[in-house]
Amino acid sequence: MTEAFVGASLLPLAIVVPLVWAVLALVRPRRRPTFLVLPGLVSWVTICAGLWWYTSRLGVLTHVLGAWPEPLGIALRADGLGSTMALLTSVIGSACALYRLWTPIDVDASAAQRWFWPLFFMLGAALNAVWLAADLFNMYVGLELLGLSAVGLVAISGRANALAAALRYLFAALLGSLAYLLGVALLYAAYGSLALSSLAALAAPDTITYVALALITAGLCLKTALFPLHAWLPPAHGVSLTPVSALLSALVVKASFVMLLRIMVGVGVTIITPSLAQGLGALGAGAIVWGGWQALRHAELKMLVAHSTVAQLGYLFVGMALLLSGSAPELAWDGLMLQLVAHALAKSAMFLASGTLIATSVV
Amino acid sequence: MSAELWYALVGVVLVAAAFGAFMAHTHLLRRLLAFNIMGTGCFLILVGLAQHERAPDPIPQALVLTGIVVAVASTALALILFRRWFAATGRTTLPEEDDG
Amino acid sequence: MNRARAFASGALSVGMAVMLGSAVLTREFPPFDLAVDLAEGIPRSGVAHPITAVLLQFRSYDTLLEIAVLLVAVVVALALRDPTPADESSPESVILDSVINTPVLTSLTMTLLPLMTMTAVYLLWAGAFQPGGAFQAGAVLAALGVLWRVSGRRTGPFAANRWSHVALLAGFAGFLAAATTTLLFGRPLLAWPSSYAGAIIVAIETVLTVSIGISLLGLFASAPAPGDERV
Repeated sequence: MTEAFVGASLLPLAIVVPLVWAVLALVRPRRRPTFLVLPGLVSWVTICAGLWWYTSRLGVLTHVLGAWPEPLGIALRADGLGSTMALLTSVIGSACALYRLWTPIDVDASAAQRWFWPLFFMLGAALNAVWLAADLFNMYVGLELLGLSAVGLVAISGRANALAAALRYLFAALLGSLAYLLGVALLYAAYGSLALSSLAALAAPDTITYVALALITAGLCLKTALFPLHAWLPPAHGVSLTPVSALLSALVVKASFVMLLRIMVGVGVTIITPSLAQGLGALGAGAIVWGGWQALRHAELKMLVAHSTVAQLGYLFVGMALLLSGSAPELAWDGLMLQLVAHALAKSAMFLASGTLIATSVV
Repeated sequence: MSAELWYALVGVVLVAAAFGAFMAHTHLLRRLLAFNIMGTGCFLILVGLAQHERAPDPIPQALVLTGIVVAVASTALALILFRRWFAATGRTTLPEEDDG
Repeated sequence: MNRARAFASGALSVGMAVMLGSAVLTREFPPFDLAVDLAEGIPRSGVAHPITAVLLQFRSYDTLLEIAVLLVAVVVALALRDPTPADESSPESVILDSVINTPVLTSLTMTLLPLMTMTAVYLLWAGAFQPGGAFQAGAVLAALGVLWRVSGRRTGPFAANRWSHVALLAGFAGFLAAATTTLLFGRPLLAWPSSYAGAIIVAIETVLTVSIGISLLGLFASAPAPGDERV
């Protein structure tokens, strides 16, 4: 078996293995199934690490699903961005899982929390599905899976305002996905293909493409909580279980951002004018200021950290604006990657630490 | 104007009207209904515009089938959350929108 | 609803209509025509109907993730069925259900039971060469289950016994198992071998039908309302 074959086989495994573990976790839902979860985490991290290693050695890896070539079929693609985010997901996911397994924090006696593990593994599978996707509709279904798993994880928190936060999150997520789907519908009607590679080659600046990109941008910005569409994020991240807040802030909001980045760089790079890109950057700058100001005003620790997430996501959009307006593309890309990885690690650590502080009543 | 373009334009009207309703209402059930109508309009655009002036194309039809399943699952989840919210608090709107 | 909000929503609505309308009306002829590739691929796909071929052959990965979405919705429904510490309504663990106990509904349900089951099986079988398939058949089964529960006959809380739990998981688990098996044989994920493709697709659709029916029924049965009867 050649290296390329092994590398390309790891792509579907990165999605299938968490799905298998989700099904296993559903057979007998329990609160702390250590013997079930630990092998799942080990296999997940190993596969994503292997995928990252092969991608860094061999370049972009492609796996054609069902042996039907694009654009009729669907392909999975692992480039530097995708494989790095997959590895990051497995590492942060494992940390949050161990936090839940080995600490009593946020584990109460309610029966709803038995269902944490199936939703957790589904969330991991959905995240990998988004990082490794190369097809627009495939990204939509992965995003929906991600959204529903995340809402479920927020809703089982059992706190009094968890239901309200979950409802607000669900409605924002549904509106965002629908706007995205509308954009995809227009793109399919205009170009006849859903594969990102074929669309990137053919994109033309006509009305329907502009409208489709506007809808996709609006929908994905709502899901990434870009200011001023960020109102759903602080309640949802502040009220959920500690490992759930860590996963949401570190990874789930980044999924829609990475989708937007891929679509902008692929389809939109010949179409987005510098002024439109700077407009997104201005909203990002607004997010930094507003999120920071709101974080200063909140005394409750988890809400403070959640507002800080809103601010940090603004940096991502500033980076995207620099990338698209062409002023400093390589530097902007490096900056974006650094912010994606660093913020994920820092924010998840921050939430896990906050949970410990709150539970030991220091704060 | 072919039949498919007409479907697509009806879809446009549904999406626009339902979007306005989604923004205007604060009652969660009405927002959910508006979301479903928007979804239907989106599916009409997907199927209608893709097949306008072309041969019948099974791909958008299959995409709509998948979309319907996803919409049903999302609507059901929203309804379950809303019913529990209503059973727990007796309110039909989210907290800061009660005076809307 | 105050006037400012109504006016703003109306403006948004009109703006959306103008934007979408201009996009729809100015579409030019698309460069790709996938229907040609599809027609060439149908003979190798194992099914005669193009939509079923797209759902379970060409874009089977979308279908796999879509069943996962449905499963996640049911899992959250089951999770929320148990009362949480924040429940102010009733402290005991009760499953609430809507019941309309009239003789008309009861006798109608008994009459419809064999008819709807037969319709579901027909829809599943017809999906190979006509519009039909797993989701349509599963929806009919779920409707039958809803009638069954609403007319007052039930066997206890939903998914409380082992069999319904298995039926819920069997569809997605079976699909996932078939997909993983292709990987074990060194083929790409979800690449059914041409000679067995038809049989594999029929088998997957059958387990999916049962699962989809139970999932949709579970979503219906998990939404409590005040004033509903206790089980």
